Amino acid sequence: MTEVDSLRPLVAVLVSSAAIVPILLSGHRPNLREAWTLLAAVTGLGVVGSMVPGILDGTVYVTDLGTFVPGVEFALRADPLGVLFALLASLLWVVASFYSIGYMRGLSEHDQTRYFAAFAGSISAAVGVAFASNLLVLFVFYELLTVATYPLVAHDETDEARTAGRKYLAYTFGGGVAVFAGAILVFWATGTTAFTPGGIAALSGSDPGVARAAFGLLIAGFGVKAALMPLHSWLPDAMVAPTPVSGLLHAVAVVKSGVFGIARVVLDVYGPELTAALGVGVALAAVATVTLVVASVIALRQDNLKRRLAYSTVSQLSYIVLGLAVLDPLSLVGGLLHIPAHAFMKLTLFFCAGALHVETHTDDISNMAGIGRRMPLTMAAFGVAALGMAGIPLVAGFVSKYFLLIGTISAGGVVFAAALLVSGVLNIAYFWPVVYTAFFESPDAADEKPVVENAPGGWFGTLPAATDGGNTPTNARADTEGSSEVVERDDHGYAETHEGQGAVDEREAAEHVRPEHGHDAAPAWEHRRWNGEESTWFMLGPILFAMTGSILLGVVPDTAVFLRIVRLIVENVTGVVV
Amino acid sequence: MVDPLVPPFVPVLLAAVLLPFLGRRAGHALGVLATAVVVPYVWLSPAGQHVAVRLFGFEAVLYNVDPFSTLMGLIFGFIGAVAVLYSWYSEASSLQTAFALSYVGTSLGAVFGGDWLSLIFFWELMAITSTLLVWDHGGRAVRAGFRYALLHGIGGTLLLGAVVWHYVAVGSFLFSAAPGGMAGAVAPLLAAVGIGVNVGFVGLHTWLPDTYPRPHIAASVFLCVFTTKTGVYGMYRAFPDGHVAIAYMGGVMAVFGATYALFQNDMRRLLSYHIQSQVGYMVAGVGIGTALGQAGAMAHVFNHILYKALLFMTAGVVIYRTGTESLKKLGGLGREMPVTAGAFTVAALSIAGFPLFNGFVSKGIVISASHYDFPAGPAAIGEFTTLELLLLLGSVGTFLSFIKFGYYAFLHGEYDSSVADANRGQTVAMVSVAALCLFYGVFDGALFALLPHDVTDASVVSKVYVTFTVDHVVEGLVLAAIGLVGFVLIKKPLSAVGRVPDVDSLYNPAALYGTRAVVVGTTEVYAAVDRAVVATTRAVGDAVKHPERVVERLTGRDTVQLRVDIGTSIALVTLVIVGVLVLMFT
Repeated sequence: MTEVDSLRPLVAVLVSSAAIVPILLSGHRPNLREAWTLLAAVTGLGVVGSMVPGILDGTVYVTDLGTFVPGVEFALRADPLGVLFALLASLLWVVASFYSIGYMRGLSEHDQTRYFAAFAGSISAAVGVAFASNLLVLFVFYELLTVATYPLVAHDETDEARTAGRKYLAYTFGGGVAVFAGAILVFWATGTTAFTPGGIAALSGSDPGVARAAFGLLIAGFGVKAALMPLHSWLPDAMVAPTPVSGLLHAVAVVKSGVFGIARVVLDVYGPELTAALGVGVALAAVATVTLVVASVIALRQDNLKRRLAYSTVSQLSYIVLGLAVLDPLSLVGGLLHIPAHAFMKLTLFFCAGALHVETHTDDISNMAGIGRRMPLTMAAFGVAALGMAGIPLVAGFVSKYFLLIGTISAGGVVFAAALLVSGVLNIAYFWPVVYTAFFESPDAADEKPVVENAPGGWFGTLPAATDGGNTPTNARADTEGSSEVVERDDHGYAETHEGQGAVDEREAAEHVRPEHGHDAAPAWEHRRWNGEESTWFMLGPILFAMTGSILLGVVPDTAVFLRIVRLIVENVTGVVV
Repeated sequence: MVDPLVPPFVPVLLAAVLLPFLGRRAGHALGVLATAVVVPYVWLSPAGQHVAVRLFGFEAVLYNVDPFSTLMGLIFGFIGAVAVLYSWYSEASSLQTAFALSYVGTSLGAVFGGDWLSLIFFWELMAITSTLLVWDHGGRAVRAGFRYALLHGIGGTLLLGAVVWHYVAVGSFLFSAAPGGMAGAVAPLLAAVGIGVNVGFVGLHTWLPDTYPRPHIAASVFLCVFTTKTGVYGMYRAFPDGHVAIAYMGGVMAVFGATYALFQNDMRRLLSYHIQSQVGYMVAGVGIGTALGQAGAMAHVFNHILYKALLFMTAGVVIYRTGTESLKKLGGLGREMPVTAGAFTVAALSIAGFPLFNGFVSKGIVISASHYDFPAGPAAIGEFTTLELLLLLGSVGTFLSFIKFGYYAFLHGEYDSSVADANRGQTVAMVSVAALCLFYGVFDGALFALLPHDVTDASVVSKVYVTFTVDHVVEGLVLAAIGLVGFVLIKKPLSAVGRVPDVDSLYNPAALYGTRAVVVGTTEVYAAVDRAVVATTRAVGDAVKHPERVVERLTGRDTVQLRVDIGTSIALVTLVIVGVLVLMFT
């Protein structure tokens, strides 16, 4: 491994935050404003991408900005693990930017300028997390990421959004404090916090009690954003944010920054050997195992699509943590590969949920019978990504799950392997009903959803009206109607009640569900062809891109670069060529 | 040597992708062509030929030709072509046939994989494509398809676990690396149960009668062929030396399936139970594990695909023309639909194992293997081993239920209105398959030539197999006679029997309510934890912001003054620090 002084890591971090000012200044010219976002996104991707060939040849790019606090350098260091995360975040930011345009304009959202500025700031912080060279720099960017995403979570400015935002801050700042304390303990024990592949050598000579305490603090801190149970409950609430935020930040950048932190701790601070010797790997694996099963179980009951996706995220993040905690070289490959694999698949799913919301205001799975007629491409992409979540071949999830299974069984973790297998079946149980209801049922002949809460065997005997009639327009909108200046607030598909939009939604649903001719006048979705007339290409393009990415990762993961980077990381850390 | 080397699934999957865009006629013609071309292609590929690739960095073989794969490829290709033709003339939509072809293609991929990685890859895809094929029909098929998907998800998951455990034990996925099949302690068990879902082990079989009667009639023809037979093939790969428990499971399946079939009145449901019963013979052959047993199993795979597809086609034509699924509402169709009735007779005699029909040949090999190559077992009577008795009993049940089917559909009474017979395409499909059933029943040597082990060579098998011996023919005729007499005797009581519950009426509700209990329990516990945490946080926040109020509440006094002057504050802080220091250094 050769280290090269380069400005590229710094540029990669700053390019998106540099866009904040022009974005704020061009708030009244939306097209110019979005041009700045896209310019920054493409530049950032270019800078990160330019480092990939060097990384694969064993080069590490370093920007050293001098001493941060005595004994700690403020340096940005683009090593394979950092580039894996940065490449993912910056690539998907380009995609999500296009999608944001389609989504925010599709809903005529308020405060779009603040939204795009905060988004740029979040990506900057995420790339900073990726390139941080030691625990303290990582801590700084980790906290900045929290700050930058708060306006996005609380974007709606409703009571619900503010509450979710406060909860988000409380959890993640609490986590930050734990990270900081852990970093100080590591520094106190070894005199350094710099990341070293295979672990900081001095740490293995230090007091095991202190090392364990520091590990616990660091994992608890990063575990907040990685949504390890019982620290996960901010994540489902944060779904109140606009869907591109739920997609990119709460399935990719923010949550993965927590997972990434855990990866740094396990691989580059403690190293697999010390982690195993201290016995903390097994403990972490146990937490991850419980999380991945319990979250899948909870997901079964969620009728709101975004909530179901949120619990799926909680579960899938623990696949990654489990792979890291098992410490076998192949499980490390599986866990790290699941970072991009899950990102592409979950982004597809969230983008689909957002497109459904913008186009039809359908947020609950129980209202989606036959929606494949109205949104064919979207739901097909959803189906593909859902297959991948369950670990079906041809999609990215199969490859990473396969490596994870081989790794856990090689390491003798039968319980962990069993949990992975069970979770695969649970994924089928909670994703398939969405797919079959969309394509193979119609509004007047559909099982009631969620399947687990309704009659055995499906819809015989009970034929409920497709659109929900039990909602009154008063409750959901009470908070905004009281104020003098009524702003149209969108709930981004997250409302507690069915159809949470009240009258607006009922009117729009009525427009989409038109009575067909026939003696029973069954409602049916209007038919849209498979050529993109269902939505705008600003949304369909990103959906199809993310879906294609998840297939490429599932068929040719090495050619798609990510698996090669992952193999390199694991080789550097364990010395085993996989 | 065939050049260039293209795995057989490629043309079929390409056709599946193109089909919806070509229009119905051209699309189906392409589908027939793409599946039919597999037959000569596989026929001309010599054993040992293979396409080695690296899949995710692991060694894999995508087109592995050996006698077992060749036999599967030949019959899959042929019946695929016939079934596409049948779909074409049975008003199947292009999309449905596209799903069906993707199902055929993934099955071909599974049987030509030379390693466990490619096998499980296609195995799981097969579960998806077949689910789509069921779902495409809509209505009641949808929820049945979901149950099917869940059960096959579990089965595939178990097999995936087996494959991974096997890899860890052996260090390679290639079949050639582990000639003894699944290695280690865990893998064989997982593989047996995982594959057991696909072949319909008793207790894991309920998806068969649940799913197969519900979709489009042409979809049923595809479904009845590929999943279970790929399962038999996989069972052989996992247990190339056989296993006693699997052999007995096969015997039990033969009896159980035939018995339940007898109680059914829905035609396709009856046929579905017979899939389980017939696959029981194959599983028994694989479980016996000798050359004779395996040859019998593979011969039965080949023959079974022919006559079972034919049975589903005839039942499909009846449904297509009458719109009725239930035997109770049919009757007298023999005069109305002579071609269909004739095709049904050939298929029924084949499945029941009547001399001169193909089932007689292959079932005979399996029973012969159970006689000569298998221990007597706990319930042997005279010369007959336990397994042999089970298989013979299954044959009686088969005769009984097909006499019932034929009697109620084609003979009994008069049909009220005039019904057209099968249309031209359906007739071509049925007659060509029926001809093969007869051909392989008469010219047994043609069948033997396809088998992986030469059953006529004394150096290969323990006992040379001869189809037409006096004993064997008499056995076939006696079984038929017992069936006929038995049917006359039980006809009346049988018609009084209502719906007989299978194990799924137990475990479907158990699974649903059990899952619900777990889900509700978990979510409620978490909600309680979350409420407690939020409440505590709020209480702590209040205590910090308004300590007076908390003390007021705790002490019950109306007003509390917590403000003190600076001197007292410093004194308090000093006191705390001193206290802490004392605690630390004692």
